[in-house]
Amino acid sequence: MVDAVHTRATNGDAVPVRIATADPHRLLKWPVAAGGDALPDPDAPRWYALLQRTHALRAPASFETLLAPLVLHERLRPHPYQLRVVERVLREMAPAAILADEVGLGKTVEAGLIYKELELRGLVESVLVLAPKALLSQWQEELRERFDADFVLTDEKRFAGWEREPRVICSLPQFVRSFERVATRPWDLLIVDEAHLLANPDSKRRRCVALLRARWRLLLTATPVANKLTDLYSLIDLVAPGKLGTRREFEAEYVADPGTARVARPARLPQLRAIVRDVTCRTRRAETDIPFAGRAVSTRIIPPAPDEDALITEVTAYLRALYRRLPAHAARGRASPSGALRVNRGAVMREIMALQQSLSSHPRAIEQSLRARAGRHADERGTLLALAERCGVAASAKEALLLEVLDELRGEPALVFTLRLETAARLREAVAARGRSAECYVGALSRAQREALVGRFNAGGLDTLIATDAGAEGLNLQQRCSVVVNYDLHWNPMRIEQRIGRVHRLGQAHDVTVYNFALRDTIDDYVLRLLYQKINLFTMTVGALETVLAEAQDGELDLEDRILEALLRTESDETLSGEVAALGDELLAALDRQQAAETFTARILS
Amino acid sequence: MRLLFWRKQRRDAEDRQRSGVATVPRDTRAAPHAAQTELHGAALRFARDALVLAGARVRVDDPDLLTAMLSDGTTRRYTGSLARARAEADAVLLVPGGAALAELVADCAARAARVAFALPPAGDAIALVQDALAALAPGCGRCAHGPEAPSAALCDTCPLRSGSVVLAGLGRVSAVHERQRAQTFAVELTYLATYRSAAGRRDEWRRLAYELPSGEATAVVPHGALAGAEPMALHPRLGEMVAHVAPRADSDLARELEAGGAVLALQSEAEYQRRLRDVLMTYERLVSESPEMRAELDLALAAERERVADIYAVDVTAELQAVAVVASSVAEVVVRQAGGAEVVLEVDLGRGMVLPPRCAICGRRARAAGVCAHGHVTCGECASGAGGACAICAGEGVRAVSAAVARRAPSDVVPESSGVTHLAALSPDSWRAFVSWYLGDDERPVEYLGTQGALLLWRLGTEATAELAMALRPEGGRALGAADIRAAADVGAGRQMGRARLVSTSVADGEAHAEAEWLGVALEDRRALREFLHQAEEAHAREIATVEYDAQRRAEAAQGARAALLDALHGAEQALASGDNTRRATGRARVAQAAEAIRGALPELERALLAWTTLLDDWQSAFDDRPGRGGALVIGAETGALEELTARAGHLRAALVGAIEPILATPGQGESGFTAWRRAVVERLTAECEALRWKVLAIDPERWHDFSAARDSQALVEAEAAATAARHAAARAEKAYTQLASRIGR
Repeated sequence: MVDAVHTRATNGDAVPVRIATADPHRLLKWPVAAGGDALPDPDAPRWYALLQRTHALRAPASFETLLAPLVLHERLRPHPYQLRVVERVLREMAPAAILADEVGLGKTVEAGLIYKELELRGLVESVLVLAPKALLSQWQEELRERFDADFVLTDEKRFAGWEREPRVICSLPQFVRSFERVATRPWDLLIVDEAHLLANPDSKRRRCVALLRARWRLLLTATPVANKLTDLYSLIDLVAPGKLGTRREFEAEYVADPGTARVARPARLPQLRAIVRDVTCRTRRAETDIPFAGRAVSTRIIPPAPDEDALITEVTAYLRALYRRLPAHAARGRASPSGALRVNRGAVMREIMALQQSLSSHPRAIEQSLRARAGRHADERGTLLALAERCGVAASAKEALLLEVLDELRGEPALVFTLRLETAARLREAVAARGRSAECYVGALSRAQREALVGRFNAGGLDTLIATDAGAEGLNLQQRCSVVVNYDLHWNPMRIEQRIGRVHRLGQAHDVTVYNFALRDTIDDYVLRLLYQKINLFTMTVGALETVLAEAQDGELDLEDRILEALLRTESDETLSGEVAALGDELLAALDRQQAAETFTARILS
Repeated sequence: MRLLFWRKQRRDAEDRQRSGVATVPRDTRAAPHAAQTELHGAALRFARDALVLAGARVRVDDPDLLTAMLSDGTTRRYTGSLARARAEADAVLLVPGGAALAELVADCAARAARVAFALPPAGDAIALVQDALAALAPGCGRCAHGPEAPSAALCDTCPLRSGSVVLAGLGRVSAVHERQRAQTFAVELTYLATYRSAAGRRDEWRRLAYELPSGEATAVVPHGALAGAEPMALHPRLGEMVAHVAPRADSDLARELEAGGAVLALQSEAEYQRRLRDVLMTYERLVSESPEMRAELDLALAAERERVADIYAVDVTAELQAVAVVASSVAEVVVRQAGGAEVVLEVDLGRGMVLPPRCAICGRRARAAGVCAHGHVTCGECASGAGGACAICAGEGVRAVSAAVARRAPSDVVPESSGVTHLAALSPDSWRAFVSWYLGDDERPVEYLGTQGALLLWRLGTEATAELAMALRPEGGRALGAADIRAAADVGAGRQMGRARLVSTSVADGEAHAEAEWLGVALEDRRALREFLHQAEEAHAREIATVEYDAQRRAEAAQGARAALLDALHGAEQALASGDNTRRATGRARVAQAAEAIRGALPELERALLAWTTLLDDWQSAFDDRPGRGGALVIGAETGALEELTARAGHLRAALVGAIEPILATPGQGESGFTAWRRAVVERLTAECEALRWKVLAIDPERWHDFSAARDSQALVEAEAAATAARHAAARAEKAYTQLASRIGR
């Protein structure tokens, strides 16, 4: 606890000096033993002498040697170009910079290293990360995994409020909505990912970012000039207000076609680039020498097993009926049909999503889910149990396919992803029965159990790891494994990228093979063909997906919700495939826009 | 004052044996396993000692690797090598900021936060007094008495330089004996002071010690003395006294923190003002562009100013890390002079030092003082207040002498900026940081080398051009004397670097300056530092003034060039206007001769016009065609280039007029169409000159503050019109000459 002693009176606009002493009397309250005198510690003088040596062990003042890469060496091995960026920002550009590396070069790593370096030297405590909604959990995981930093999302239960929480990750719309509360305190560091979303000078989000008190600011974007030269003005004015004068002056000085709608032809490009270089770090892919293994994709779309097909149709119809009933409950906030619970749209949608995932996953998984629901909803018990009975005996075409693929791999280690715990357990049995060693890697395992499993896998004692997405956080298998099987498809493409990232990362010596499974004419089939393959998701440049998602609907596109809604709202396969294809077109358009912005940025800055 | 305390019982070995945990002895330096191989790096050495002290068994097989078996049976391996940490899974990297080191440090801090120990007597009191007492330097005494005593420079052989106690007037010593010995207590407070600014963060470790119960400042326990200290129990009454000392420590520390903060603020001042100016200028222009948004802009300005202030603010915090109550034996040693008078000196046996005697008048301790025949000790200041005599012997009241001292205004004290007075109050680390900043002002590499005696040393510049910089803050603000310069020169000679500089917070006296010049030591004393700090305070204003001055100088040079250009063109235009003579060429031969004269002059004229066009292009390109920041005309050309334009205008005036003159010398009229041709040629020349003149007039550098006023777009329109007229006249001349040529048979 720090009690301010006084603040130096400053004359007018002199640099303010704030002096404080931390609770000076805390240590002066001497503990008194029962007998009156405090008991002596036999080693007290030696500990005291040792304490005097600790000062030399504190982080040095200058940034001559970076500490973060040393402290994080077990978690992260940054590239030399990333370290150069970190050094330049800390030594020359403090306290604000735009990190504008080309897509896939690791701006997040650079921002994380800058944050960690500042934190280790006691220069920042409170940090706010603003990112598109689709990237929030990726940021959280990345910061936790690679930077040993626990950041809280604003929608997490443990979020203690804007006034108290030291490290927060938040989406831009949420930030704007909560701005009054966010701005009640100064922040030490503000990181804005996909910062080109702040290019519009009249947008509320930009105004809020400009008004936020943050000592350090890092803006991350691969395309600081997405469409117009004035985008650059908007961003630079956020990190160095006044550096480029007013917008009108900027246009008069550096735009060859001022006042037009495009504002895209630069004037005095060398001078403009010189100014940009003062506040921007940009590394191009050509300047790096990153050894990345390639990716091969094998997509297997197979017909469902005979009784499986009918089950999928019937359960989907049940889910659609459930969805159609939803608005009435949700709108009135009445008790649910069972009478036990109040209906909440979000909760019901989550349950429908879970049921849908089970359905796509394995007949045994949906059987379990239906039985569980039957226990909670007495009015549907009969229907649900009847469906569950049939699921219990239905065969799984994907399970057979998995065994077939594993046979093809001939003992090569594989990482299999499924969405449901029940499926993971079932697959483990099936794979083991085939004579191949397999274990489940799920969220319920303790840290020690996880470490033991990874150790066994890397040592060659295990051929197949069957993981759930929640369980696989922090899993790194690039040393031994180069095969990822998307047994169940995830509708959030970032999750797919994270799955592949478990083996496709620095240190992978072989090309990575990605297997995708889907049952023909099901929702997964459409998502795979009409959405993911349209944008070449599986072979996209590392990091490109984030920028595409950020581009689509300004980062607010929630693919999982949109796909589920499409599935539940539509009645025919044609309509459903049409809706998914439309989503694919939307992503494709975002990809095109993003590529155009990259080209424009390259023309202006490179 | 005597207080109860318990001596720590020696029970280490028995305790450890009972606990069944095998450990090495507590004295880490004697640890058999740990001592075999010397570890690399302070972190590993600290870890070794901390682990041993915590009861671990430590093994050092390699300078980079430490293996410890903790008392709970677990094994830990620490390394200072990144490569090793990567290669060996169980080796934990110990680096500042890392969790492993932080854990060890936190454990140490917790154990050392409140301690009490006694310092065993080190040495013999009488011997210590005999060693410490020194006579005045021969022929000198300014350190000990006289009005200049507290601030005068020390002489070469002053005993104070070697830490002795000087008693001027002390007679022959006939006997020295220890009268009594008592236990005294002091409290040592260890603070961590942290300075954060836009330049980063700097931590300082400060130890302050105070006597109990008086609260008077005393020396901290030397590191060597800590090794032999014995733990003791703390009586509650001592604990209470410690709390009473805290305000005194707060006040002492606050002075240092404030001084350090002020100096740091000065380092950021120029950059801060620059940023603030950018923000304010942008705000003003935005308001002028969109007055209707004033309220919103005011809000944004307030937020931005707050943010800039946040960025550049200097935050200084201090946190108490440890409190140590230190018991030590103090012996009273009586020094009997031959005349029988006695002087009593106190010897701190724990710290192994003679305490400076107290002045009998003001009660303050002084390392240099006078002693009268009756044994009264008076400090220099009080002695001078009493006119040099012993005030006690003279029967003057202590109060009267003190009042006289207080009344005496320092004669040579001039008002100083707060900056330079802060320098004396800086903590040692802050002083070092300040000098590094000061030395790095010329952007040469600065490397701190360490200390030599009271001097702090730096290497400046690269290997080839290296020079040695030294810094000295004489105790009590004494003046810098010739002896200090000689000492610095000696250090400089020993280091064998190109040049030696001495930086000091004290004023150097005349002798010091002379000596510095003689020995080739660049002396930068208090006056230089005062000037430097003043410049730092004014840096931003000076920067603006420099930019403004440069722009004004360019504008003046451009104005000169403009005047020369106009003058030259005016001369040519005047010549052309006066060339319309009434002479007439009659007869074919005369007409042919006149035509030949004009034709012969035309190539020279074309060359002159081309040179003028080039000159005017250079004139126009000397200015940016877009307004600069703040809407000013940017004059890109240096003053030298603009002066060259002026000179070229002079030369080209002669060339142009010289080319025109042969034409004007021909008859104004003639047969066979000569008149029409000559008129067309002259009209073309007049229009060309007019076009050039308008181009010059299109830019008025005198009004450079306002781009739109300095640029006259109408003049460019006029220039274009004149150029068109010139082209038309040239076409007419071409046609007329064709007719003339056919008529005169050319």
